Amino acid sequence: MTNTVNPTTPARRRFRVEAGLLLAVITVVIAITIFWPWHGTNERWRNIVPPLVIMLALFRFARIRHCSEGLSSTNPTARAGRRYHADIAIFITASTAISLFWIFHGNRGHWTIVDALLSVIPFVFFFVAAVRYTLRTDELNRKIIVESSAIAGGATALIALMYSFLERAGYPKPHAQWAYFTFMISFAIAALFFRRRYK
Amino acid sequence: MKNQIKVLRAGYDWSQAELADRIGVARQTIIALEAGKYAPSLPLAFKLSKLFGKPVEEIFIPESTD
Repeated sequence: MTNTVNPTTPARRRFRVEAGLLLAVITVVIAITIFWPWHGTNERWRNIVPPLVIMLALFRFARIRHCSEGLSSTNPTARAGRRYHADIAIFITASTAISLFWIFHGNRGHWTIVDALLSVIPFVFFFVAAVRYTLRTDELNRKIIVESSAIAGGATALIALMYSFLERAGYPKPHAQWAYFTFMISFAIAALFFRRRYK
Repeated sequence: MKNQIKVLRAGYDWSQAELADRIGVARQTIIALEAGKYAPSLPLAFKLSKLFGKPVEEIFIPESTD
C-alpha cells in the first residue's frame, strides 16, 4: 500500500486562510465605511477607497483560488474553473475602471445615457464567463448550475410579481437592479441546497 | 441507483481525485456517484465501464424504484 500525501491539501489550507482573510478585510472595510469620521475629508475618497480595497482583496482571492486549482492536475473541471476565475478578474477590473470613471466623470449632459450603459460591459463579461464555465464544467456541476438557475429564475419572477402587487398597495418602487440581486441571492441559496442534495 | 464504483476504485488503489482526473470530472461527482446520490449520463457511464473493463450493467445496479 502506498503512503502518499495529497498535494492539494496545503493549497486547500492556504485557500481557507485566504478566504478567512478576505472576509476579515471586507468586514473591516465595511466597518470603516460606516464608522470612520469622513466629514471634513474629501467625501470622494469615501466612494473610492472602500470599493477599491474590496476589489484588491477579491483579486488576491481569485489568484489564490487559481493557484490552488492549478495543483489539482489536468482535470477539465479545474481548467474550466481556472478560465472562469481569469474571466472574473477581467470582470472585476472592468467594474473598477468603470466605477472610477463614473465617480469622476459621471453625469456629462447628453452623454449620461452612454456613461450609464458603460456599466453593462463588465456584466456582459460576467455573463459570458458564467456561460462558458457552465458549458465546460463537468456534468454534475452543470446539472447543479442549471437546476439552481431555473429555481432562481422562477423565484425572481415570483418575487417581482408579488412586489408589483405590494407596489399597488403603496410600497415604494425599488430600483430595477434589485431583480439582478434577487436572482443572484436565489441562485446562491438554490445552489447550496442542490450541492447538499448530491453530497 | 446502486453502483460498484467504490469497490472497483479500491481494487485499483485509486483515490477519488485520481479517478476523477482519469474520467475528467470533479471529485464531487465521484463522491455523489459513490454515495448513490447521482445517476451519471450515458457517456460518463461508458467511460467508467471502459476504465474498469467491465460492462455498464455490472457497475450500475438499478433498484426497484429506478
